[in-house]
This record gives sequence, structure tokens and C-alpha cells, in this order.
Amino acid sequence: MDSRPLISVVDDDESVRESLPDLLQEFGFAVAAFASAEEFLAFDRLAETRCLILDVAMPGMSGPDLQRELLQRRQQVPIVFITAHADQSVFPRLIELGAVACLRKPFSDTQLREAVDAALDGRPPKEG
Amino acid sequence: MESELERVVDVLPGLVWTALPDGQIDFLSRRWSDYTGLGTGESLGHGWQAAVHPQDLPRLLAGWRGDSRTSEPVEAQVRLRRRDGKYRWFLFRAQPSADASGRIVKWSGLGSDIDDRIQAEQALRASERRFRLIVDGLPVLLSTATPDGELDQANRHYLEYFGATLEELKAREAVHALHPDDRERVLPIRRAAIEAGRPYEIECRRRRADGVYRWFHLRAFPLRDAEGNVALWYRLQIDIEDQKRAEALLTGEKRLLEMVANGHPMPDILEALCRFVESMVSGCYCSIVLVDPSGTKLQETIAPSLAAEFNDAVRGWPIDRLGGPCQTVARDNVQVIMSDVASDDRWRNSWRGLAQKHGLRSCWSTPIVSQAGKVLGTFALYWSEPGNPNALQLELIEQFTNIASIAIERAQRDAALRRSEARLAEAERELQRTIDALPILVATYRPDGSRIFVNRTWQDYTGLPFDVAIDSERTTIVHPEDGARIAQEWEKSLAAGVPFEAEMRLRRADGEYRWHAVRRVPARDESGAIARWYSVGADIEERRRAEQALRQSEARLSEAERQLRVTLDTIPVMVWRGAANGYVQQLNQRWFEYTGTTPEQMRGRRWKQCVHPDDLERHVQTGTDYVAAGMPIDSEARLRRFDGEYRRFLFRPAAARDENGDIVGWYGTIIDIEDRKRAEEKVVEAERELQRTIDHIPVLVATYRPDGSRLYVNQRVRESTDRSAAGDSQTPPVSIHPDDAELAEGKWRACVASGEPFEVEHRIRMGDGTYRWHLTRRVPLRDDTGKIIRWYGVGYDIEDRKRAEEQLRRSEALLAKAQRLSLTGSFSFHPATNDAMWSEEVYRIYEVEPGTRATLAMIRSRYHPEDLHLLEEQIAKMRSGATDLDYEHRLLMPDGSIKHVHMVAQGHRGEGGSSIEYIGAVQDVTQRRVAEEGLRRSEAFLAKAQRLSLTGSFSFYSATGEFTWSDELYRIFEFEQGTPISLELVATRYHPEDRHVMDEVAEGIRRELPDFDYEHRLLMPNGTVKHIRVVAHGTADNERGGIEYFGAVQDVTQRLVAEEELRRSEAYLAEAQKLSHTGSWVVDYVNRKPIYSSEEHHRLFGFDPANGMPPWREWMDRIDPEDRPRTKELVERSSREKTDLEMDYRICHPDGTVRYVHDVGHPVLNEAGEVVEFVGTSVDVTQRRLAEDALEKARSELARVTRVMSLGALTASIAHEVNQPLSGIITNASTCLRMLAADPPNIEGARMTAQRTIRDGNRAADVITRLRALFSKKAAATETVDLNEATREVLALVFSDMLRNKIFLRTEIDDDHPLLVTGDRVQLQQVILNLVRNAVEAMSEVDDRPRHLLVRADAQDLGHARLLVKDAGVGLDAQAMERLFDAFYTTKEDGMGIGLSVSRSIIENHGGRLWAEPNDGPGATFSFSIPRLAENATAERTGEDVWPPNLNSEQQVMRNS
Repeated sequence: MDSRPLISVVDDDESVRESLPDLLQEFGFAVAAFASAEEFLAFDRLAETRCLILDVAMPGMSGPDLQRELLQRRQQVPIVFITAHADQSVFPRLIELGAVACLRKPFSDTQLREAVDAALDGRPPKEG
Repeated sequence: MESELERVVDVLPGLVWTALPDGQIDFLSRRWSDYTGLGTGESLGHGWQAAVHPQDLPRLLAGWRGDSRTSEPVEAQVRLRRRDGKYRWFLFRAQPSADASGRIVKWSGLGSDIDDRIQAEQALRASERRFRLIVDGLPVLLSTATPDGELDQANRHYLEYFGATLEELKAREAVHALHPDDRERVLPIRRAAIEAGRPYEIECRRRRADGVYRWFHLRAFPLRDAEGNVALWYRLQIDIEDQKRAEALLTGEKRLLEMVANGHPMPDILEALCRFVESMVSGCYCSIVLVDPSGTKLQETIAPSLAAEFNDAVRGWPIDRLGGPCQTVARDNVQVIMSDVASDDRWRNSWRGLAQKHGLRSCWSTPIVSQAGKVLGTFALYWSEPGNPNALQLELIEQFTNIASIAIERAQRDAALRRSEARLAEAERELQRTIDALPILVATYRPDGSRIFVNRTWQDYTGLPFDVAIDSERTTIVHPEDGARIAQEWEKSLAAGVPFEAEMRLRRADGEYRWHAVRRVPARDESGAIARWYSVGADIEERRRAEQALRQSEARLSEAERQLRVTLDTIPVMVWRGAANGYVQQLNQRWFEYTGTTPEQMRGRRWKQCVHPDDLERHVQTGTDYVAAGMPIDSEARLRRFDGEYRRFLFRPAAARDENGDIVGWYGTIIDIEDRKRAEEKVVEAERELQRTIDHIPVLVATYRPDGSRLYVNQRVRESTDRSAAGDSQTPPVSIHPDDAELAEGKWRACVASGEPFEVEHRIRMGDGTYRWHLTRRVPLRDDTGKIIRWYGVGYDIEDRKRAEEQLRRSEALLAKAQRLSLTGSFSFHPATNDAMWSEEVYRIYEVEPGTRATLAMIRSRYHPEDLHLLEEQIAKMRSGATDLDYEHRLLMPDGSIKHVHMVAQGHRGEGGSSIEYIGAVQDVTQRRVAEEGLRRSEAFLAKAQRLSLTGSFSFYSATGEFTWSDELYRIFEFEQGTPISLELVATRYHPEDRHVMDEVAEGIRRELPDFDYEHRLLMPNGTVKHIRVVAHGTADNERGGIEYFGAVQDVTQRLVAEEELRRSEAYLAEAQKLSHTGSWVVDYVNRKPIYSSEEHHRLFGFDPANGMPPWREWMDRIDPEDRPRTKELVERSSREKTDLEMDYRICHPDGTVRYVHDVGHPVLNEAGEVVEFVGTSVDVTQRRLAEDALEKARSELARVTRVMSLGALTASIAHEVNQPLSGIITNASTCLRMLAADPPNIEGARMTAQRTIRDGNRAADVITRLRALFSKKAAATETVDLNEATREVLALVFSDMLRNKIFLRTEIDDDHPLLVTGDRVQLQQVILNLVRNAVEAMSEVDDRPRHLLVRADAQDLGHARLLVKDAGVGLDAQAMERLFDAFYTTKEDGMGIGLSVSRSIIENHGGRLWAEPNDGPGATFSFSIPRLAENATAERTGEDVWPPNLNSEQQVMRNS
């Protein structure tokens, strides 16, 4: 049994799915990557996920859709949203629904680390 | 009886003559001579031919010769020259008389003046020709119908519309071509109106020859004959199809756009759109399919008239899979016209089955494209019959596709709006922080002055919390000494809305008051009302302290001033001292002594109280002037002495200057000049007295300088002459009559030069505007050396003398003329000496050179040999001393002609009775004699002549009421020959409506009027109406009393009928024009002169028809100045090419209204083939134009609004695409660094992540590349494309757009030789479309020249195909050229610019180039060139060699890339 905390990454962009898990592993986490929300919902270790890094815009079920779905299933997974869109107008709404942080692509490793740490600690991250 | 006949011939309105069988005239009535001015003698035989118009003579003679052999009456119309040289038309009728053996022995004839009739007939013919031209030219359907409604006549347009001849149309049913839906409504109205004979109006659809129904407005009204029965129907049908459609479209579009603007849900708008389209295009089913935001599948269908099953089948269908036409349209962004579902093999799948199942047989689908070029959905029309769209339908499709695009984009825009509102809130918070951080006091107030907000600095300074501070500002913050003043000024600013500025002390938190400069300005909303006041306060405490120090040093200066004052007071004249600005600061003691005032009383500017009120203003002005000029100027003014008396003073100022020469103050002395002034005035008064004397002399007096210019005139000149001419000394004070002016002035100049006295008579214009003759004399005054120093001139009125002279001259002339006119000369004769004196006229009668000595021998030589004995008898009588002579004799002239002369003389015995002198008169009575002769002979054929000229004659004796009628008169009145005639009998023939004429005639006879000339109608027993003209002349019968009238009666029915017809056809025309808003006109093109303009044409141009024909210039001035050059050019071209004229222009009325006019004109050529006239019509198309304009405006307004969002959407998309790989790169790089920093370093892991970094970098580059081909949804396909064909397709797509923009499109495309290239057809077409659209837009503002657009596809060289788009638009400047292809550069205020940049990358992807050049004339040319498909290897290589194309133009623009 892996003792490292499990972090899941859901992004339709392949380069993110390849690069992000490597970095998170360097941080010392266990990582599972998924190309769509549907795949993640089918994940048998969903309940073990300590933090979900989730893309906002995806074909099919979008990031916010998945957030709502998890709320309805009473699956309390801390979520860090990432997006390539310049438009940040959706962020306040996502935070209001319980997301831990919203990061705009591209983001630095420090930003990512702080967001993930905050998710694991159950407290809001510093402004930035 | 003979004299009576003579009178009849005189009044007979015709020329009477007889001729011998050989055609020689042997008698002519006196009217011939009166009319032609030819003597009877010279006209007899063949002499009369001189009076016949040369063009008519051969015809007349030929007719004569031909007719001489018959015994029938003959007639001919010829022009006869009147004595004044003018020709008039005459009808000559001749009747032969034969002797017992049937041989013609004599011709007798009558020529009657028919010029008026001929003129009227010609006018009628010309008018009818014009009428026909105009009627045929009217762009309306114009027809007449029989009383029961059957078609009778129709204009050209009518026949062309129905595509049939008049005969074919007559054969058809009355309601042919009426739309079946309209019949039930229209026919009963029509039938009822025709039966009732009353006008009717209908709107209905009529089928054109090509089967298309168009809406018409039909108006019909009956024309009635004299009895009031309907004679014919006049029907006018105006094509209102365009107007109807434009109105419906406008209403529909407006409603839809309003729904868009009001934010209705998109599906509602689209459903309304579908229903509207279905109402406009009957028989179609409209469908709108939306593409989902990702652009990958069809989202929803809105088609209210299609079955749900059909609509549902489309939902969620991926657009890259084969489905129906709408998928293809959405995928390829091209229009698909599927004219027959059954035979079209492109969609042979389940869709076809489904469509056929629902009875859909054809489908035309068009992409709905956003402003950024993205496909938002499709707009499709389905039909239950196969078919292709016509031009109109294509235009509608384009319009509604556009509206759909607006509605969809609006929905998307609303979403974007919500996002930007959130950003705005953030910006406001940022602003708040900034304001709080400012080191000044900031506050805002409501319009009523209550405070809304203060910034952090304010709170820190006052130490008051935000909410506490609000209502206690004045009492707690402002210093108590400033409070009231500040409050008052602030109230004032609030009330007036002007900025408030004040300095005030404000209390700091620690209790110290510090000075602040506070400024408050109002901010206004769009309506101009004040919404907020913004206030800032800055600390100025330190500045205030510096000012305080300055004030103290100034106080020390005033002490020095006091010292100076003492000095001035000791000077013995009045002196004053002033500041640099001229204000009096000090007056010395003398002033106070003179005026009796004290320094306290003179404080400030009160010294003015001592100046005489009448002088004050001028005096003060002088002061202002010299201070402004910096130069002393003297001034005079009266000053009041202490005892109240005014004396005059000279004020003389002087400037005080500092070392730099700048004026620092003014000093002045005030000197008493009263006594000097009085002496001067006495001299002036003496001069004035002399002046008065001269002024009252009753002649005109003037003096002049040696150079002749006027120095002085007396009052008389000024009073009695034309006041308007009173000028300076160079122009005469009197207005000399223009006819005399040159002579008078020339002579005056000569006299001035020579020194001779001047004398001339001329007319002078008096004060009342009349001219009076004057004698003007001017003599020089010389000094001792003989040099002229003055000229003195006087003018006398000699008008009365002049008049007397004129009178005498005239009466002498009159006498001579009277003799000439009466052919009477006077003479005196002394039988004792044979001395004779002749007047001029006697010489003329004897045809002897005037002045020749009159001798008995000469008189004898002129006497007719047979009458010589008369002369001898008379001479014998004279010698025997007879006192009265009276006899007639003949003269034989050298040319063989004979004159009859009447001689009357009286003898007077001289003083002493020794000799006798005869004074007498000689009158030439030849004409009278000839006339008498002629009259005797004319009796025989007079009756015949009357018959020929339809003229009867009569005599009437007023005392007895007795009539004598000629035979012809019986015929005209249709009475039995010989019936006794009375006024009562004549009255029975009078037309009932003309009875009043009879009464007037009876009244005239009672009053013994000498002349009658009147026309009236006769009503014959059989009901026919005749028009007659009666001319009569009465002479008093001295023996019997009463008046005897002789008269002629002429039947003028024919002439009047012609005139009436003319008037009637003109009335019809005017009515038709009024109904159709059509004016007609005729213009003399050679002389630029309007010949004819109908009333409606007058009204169209804003002229009152009652004011007659305005000149050419005024017509032209009414045309809009912008349209004038173009209309002029069109008219000139039409004249040059002799083609019909067609043009549109605007007319500006003086009251500012503008009418749009459509003109059609037809040139009229003369025999030489030159254009001499234009005949045409002008139609008022204002209503139609305004409807079109409103539609266009609404469309473009909304289109512009929708573009605003496109730019943001595009940049967001680019950012997203680039951010994705960038994210990967940064993450990988971070990972890589961490792996390398680990202990031990994870080299293998680092290498892998570095490799991924490189890959993601490449991916980012790919994104950029892909963005370049943004317009294309698929990879650039390579297929063989015919550039000619591709261009044609694009042009077909935008054709309606061009029509609407009035573009003259010229294509140079060789359809017979394909221009093959390799590439993506759709992309290339998008480039062409982009270039064409740009060109159309570039010309949208062009109104002063034709909007020419040239599109040319050709082979530039062996290896390249070129497409060229040349416009005549706004053109490009050098700066624009450089940036033209930058992604976001545009010269259009509402443009996007992305089009050119993308076009360029598409062309470069095809291995070609896209460039722009300015034209020689207006506009620009855009071209691209791409490699041609190689026909063989050689060509391809050649193509390589010559690339890039040799563009040697210096102005070419090409960016290397």
C-alpha cells in the first residue's frame, strides 16, 4: 500500500497529463491522470484521492460539471482548478462552490505546490 | 350698289380675284394690296407670284395647270407674304365659269386666311406626337377602355409588361393576368364602378409576361362627353411591387431587430424569423439549424413549419459526418442549392429518404456566419417542388441570414457582457484604492450638495470617521471665519452648475487650521444634467505665508507716494498724475481751486463729474486710446468751474518711463483754451453766412479744382438732384442722363486740359427721378500768373425751352408724314409768271427728283395725252381769273403706268389786285379708282367667293331692322333662300347657352356701336352645332338717320374643333401625370431652353405652374449640387450617342425638402441627325427611396454593433491555444530542474522531461501556424481549381450586395480558357470574396463618381495566374500601405482588419503573393498571384524562374515574410 497522498489529474490536454504527474511525483505524491471527467468518475480509488487537479474546459463533462457531480455524490475531494482561458470571471463562482484554488495556465511549480498543500491541509492558500 | 359691294369686299375676310383661262390674273381685290403691299398694277398678269412663298409657288402653278383643264372648283393651300414680310397660310379656291359652249372663259377665286387654323392644327399634331412619346415613356401602365370596360388603347409599357400586342390583349378576357387570389375582391368593385360610371382605385397583382405577379395600384376614371355619358375610361396602373416588398421587409426586419435589441430569447427570435420568411416567400418552409459552440455538431433546429421528426433527426449530428445539406453547409461554410432532392446524388443517405417522406423536394441552405467568419448555423429554405432560387430570393436569404447571425451573436455577446461586468467591478475596487492613496483630500457630492464619499486621506487629515464627518463638515472642519463665505459660494456654484473654487482653512486632527485650495467640478451625464460633484482639496498653507510677507513690503511704498503729491500741488497749472494703466491717481491743488472741490470729493474716478457730460465719453475714449497705444494724444473737453460755468481745456498727457523705456505712469497738464476757441468760431460763422447765400441762388452752383474734381456744390444742387447719387468729390453730385454723360464728361476733360470755358446741354436726373434739360457753364479763375486756381460752374434749367423746340420739330414732321400717308401734295402757282412751288409729296406723285424746278412744261410732259386738253382748259381758266379749280385727270409715268390725280386749287388775289396766286392740293387717287373699278367687276363673283370661303355677308339697317343676306349666309344658317330675315328669326338659331351674345348685340345696336366682332354657336334643327364668327362695321346714314351695318359671317367650326381637341388631350395628360407623380418636359437642347413643362413637372421641382416657365438656370439650380455633374454628363452622353436618357437625381426645394427623381428622356433629331430636343418624363420616386434607405440604415447599424465583440473573442481563442502547450513547457522545465537538483540527480528523468519540453515548444509553434489559417476549418486541400470558375461563383454570391451598393461591375474573365491552379478552392474563394467585399466597402462613401469595380482573372505569365480587384474607392495612402497586412490594422472605422492578414497567409500557403497598389486615379487595386497548374514541365520551370513576379511599380507594397 502506497503511503504517499494520492493526487488525481484530469485534463484533456495530453502534454498536461504527461508533465504534471511527473512534477507532482517529484513533490512526493502519488498521481493518477485521466483524459476526461467520466474516466475519473469511473476510477476505483476515487475515494482515496486527497486532491483533484481539474481542467475547467473539456469536451463532454466540463470541470465545473464534475465539481457539481462530486458535490451531489457527497464526495468531498478538494479541487484545484486549472485553465488556459484568459477569462477569470468564472473563478469566484468555483471558489464559492468549494474549490481550493484556481490556477491560470501556465503556472509556476511554487503556485502549484502551495495550492496542493492548501488542499491537503484543508485551509485556503495564500493570495497569489 | 357699287359702293355697297365695295364695302362688302372690304369687310370680306378674303382676297378676291379673277383670272383669264390662260392663268393671268386680271383682277385683284383691294385686300390683296392691303395685305401684300403690292400695287394692283404690278400684281396683275403674273406679278402676283412675287407674293407667293417660293416653296409653294411651283406646287400652286402645277396645280393650276392641272386644274385649268377641268371645270370643277379647285383649291390649294399656299403661304402669302404680308407687307411686313411675314408669310401666312391661305386657302385658295377657284371656280371656273364657262360660256354657253362649255368653254372656260373665266376663273374667279378667293383666298382666305387660314393661318390660325393651320397653326392650331400643327400645334395639335406636335402636341399629339409629344403626348404619344410621353405616354409611351411613362413608366406606368396606361390604358384607355371603352365605356363598358373593354381595353381600347395602351402605352408601350403596358404592352411590354403583358408581352402581347394591343390586338392580342383586346382579344383576352378583361381580367386576364389578374392574380386568382385577387379576383373575388377586385372584380365586384370594378364591375360596380363601371356600371355607376364613377372612378375607382384598386391594389392588385398582375401577371407579367414571364409569369411573375407584381403588385399594382390601379386608378381608373371616366371621361365624359358633353351629355355627361362616359366616353371612355382612363386607367393608370403603377407598379408598387418594390414599394410593397420594401415596406413589408422593413417592418419585418425592424420587428426582428427590435426583438434582438430587447433581448428576447434567441429561439423566439429565430422562430419569428422563420415565420416571417415564410410569409414573405410563399410556399417555403424555413429552417435554422444551430451549430454548438465547439463547432463540432449540430445543436438544435428551429423550423416551426417542419415536422418534429425531421427536426429531431438533425439534433446532435456531428458536422464532419455525412448527413443532410445543412451538415455540409456548416462544415464547409458555403451555400448549397439543392434544386432537386430526388436527383441530387450528393446526399444519397437516410436524409434523402426522410426529406422525401416529408414531401420536401428542394432545399437551399446558407451558412450563418459570425462577423469573425465562424459558422454559427445554417439557414435553409425547403420547398415541396424542385427549383432554384431567383435573384430576389437570394437577396432575401442573404438579408435573413444576416439577421439570424445578429441574433445568435447577440446571445453570445450577452454572455460576454456579464463577464466584463465582473471585470468592471474589480476595476472600480482598484480605483477606490488609488483614490484613497492620493495625498489630497478627495470627496464627491450629490447635485444637492450632500456628500457621498471622502477618501482615506480626508479621514486621516480630519481625524473623523467616514460616516460621522458627513453632515458636520462646515461646523467642525471649516474655520469659523471662512464658514459663511464658503457656504454662500458653494450654494452659488451648485445652483449655476459652474466649478467651485475657494481657499479655506480646514482643521487638522490635531486642532491646527491649515489653508487649503478646494476645487469642485460637476460631472454630467449624457443628458447634460449634473450627476456628481468631484472635490479635491490641496494644502496651500506654505504659499499663504509667502503672500503675507509680500503684502507688508508693499505698505512701505505708499509713504513715498505721499511725498510726490506735495510737490505737484505747488505747480501753477492744473496737473494730474496717473498709473501706467491711465487711471488718475492724483490731481494737484490748482484743480481743486478751479473746480471748487476737495480731494475727498475727487476720490477714485470722480474727477469725471467735473467734465461736461457731452464731452465725457469722447474724452475718456481718447485716454483709453493713448494708454493702449503708449503714445500721448491731446484731448479737448469742457470743465465746470466752481461757479458752474464751463470753460474749454486742452488736456495734454505725457508718459513717465523707467530706465528700460517702459511706461510706468502718466502725467498731464490741463490748459484753459476758452478764449482762443471763441475767436476761431467767429470766423466759421462768417463763412457759414456766405454759404447760405450761395445755397439759395436758384441755379446750380459748383466749384472745381484745377484738375476738374468737384470741390463744392450749393444747397440747390443737393436738394433738387438725385439724392442717391450724392457722392464724394470725384463723382458728379448730379446724375447726368446716360445718353449725355459721355459727351458731357469728355468735353469737361478737354476743357480742364485746355483751360477753355466749358458749355454743354444735358439732362439731369431730378430728385423725383425725372430728367430735365440743363445748360451748364463753367469758367476758370486764374491767379496773377494766369494759372487756373478754380473753376466756377453754374447750371440753368432749360427744360421748357427744349420742349418748345421739340414741339415745333415734331409738328413739321407730322405734316410731312400726313401728306405722305394721304398721298396728297400741296403746291402754289402764279399763272402770270408760271412759277410753281411744290411740296415733297407732289414730287413723289409726279415721280420727279425733289428740288427740280417745277415748270409748266414738266407738268405737261407727265399728263396723260388724252387728258392734256384738261390742263389747257384749267390754265385758261386761271388766266381768266377763276377762283376755284377742282378736277381729276390722269398722269402717264415714264414706266407706262397710269396714275389718277385729283386736283383742287383756290386763287388768291395779291395786294393791289395785280396778280393772282393759286394754292392747291394734288391727291393720288389711283388706288381708289382701281378699287372702284374692281368692285364693279367683283359683283358677279362675290357670291361665289363667299361660298368658297364659307363666309356670308349681310347688311343691316338699325332704324328699320331690315336685313339683306347673301346666299351663303342663308346656307350657313340653313334658312330657305329668300326667307325674310329678322333679328327674331336669327335668334332662333342661336345656341341656347349663347343667347346672352344676342342680347349683347342688340344692346350694341341700340347704343349705335360702330364695330362688332364676336363668336358664338348656332344650334341647327338637326342638332349639329356650328361656330361662327361675325364681323360688322356700321356707318351712320346721314340722310335717313340710324346706322347701316355691313358685315361678314364665317363658319369657323372646323378651327374650333381642332383647338378643342388640343385642349382636351392636354388636360388628360395633366391628370395622368398628377396621378402617377410623373412630370413631362421638352427641352430645346441646342439653346438650353425649356420649351414645355407639365404642371406636375413644375410641382416636382417646386415651381408654381401659375408663374409660367422658369428659365433654364432656375431648373438647374433646383438639382442637388452633388448630382449636377453626373446628370450633366449623362445628358451629354445621351446627346452624343443619341440614346435614350435615364438618370436618377435629387431635387432640393427652397423650403429644404428633397425629392428623388427618376428621369427618362428621348432625344429628338433634326433632318441632319443632330439632337435638337429632349422629350421626357420625371417620376417622383422619393417614397420608394426613403423606404429603401431606412431599411439599409437599420441593417448597417445593427451589423456594426455586432462586430464589436469579434476582436475579444479572437484574442481569447489565440490565448487559449498558446497557453496549453506553454503550461506543459513550464511544468516540464520545473520537473526537470527538480530532478537535476535531487540527490542523486535523476538524469534519465530530466532528459525525458526536457524532451517533452522541446515537443511542447514545437506544439506551441504549430498552434501559431494553425492560427494563420484560421478561416479554414480543415487542412488546406489540394485539388485542381479553375480560378475563372471560382471567381465567377464568388461574384454570383455577392451580386445582390453590389446591386444594393450601386456598383458597376466589370469582369475580365475568359470563360473559354480555364485558368487552372492547385489549391484549396474554398480558401481561395474566401480570399476573392474578401478582396471584393473590401472593394465594395471602400466605395460605399463614393458619390461623386461612378462606383466602378473591375475583377480580372488572367495568366500573368506562363507560370502564374493572377486575380485583380480594382476599385474606385477611397484609396490608400502611403502609411496605410505599410500596415495594410498587419493583423489588426484597418482603415475602416468599423472594420476588423483580420481579413487581409488571413487572406495573405492563405495565398502564401499556396505559394503566391498578395499585394496592393494605389490607382492612377481614385481607388486601389488588390491582386494576388499564385502558380498555375503546370501544363508541362517546361512551363513549370519557366514559372520558377520568373518568381517573384516582376512588379516594377514603385508604389507596390510588399512585405517580406
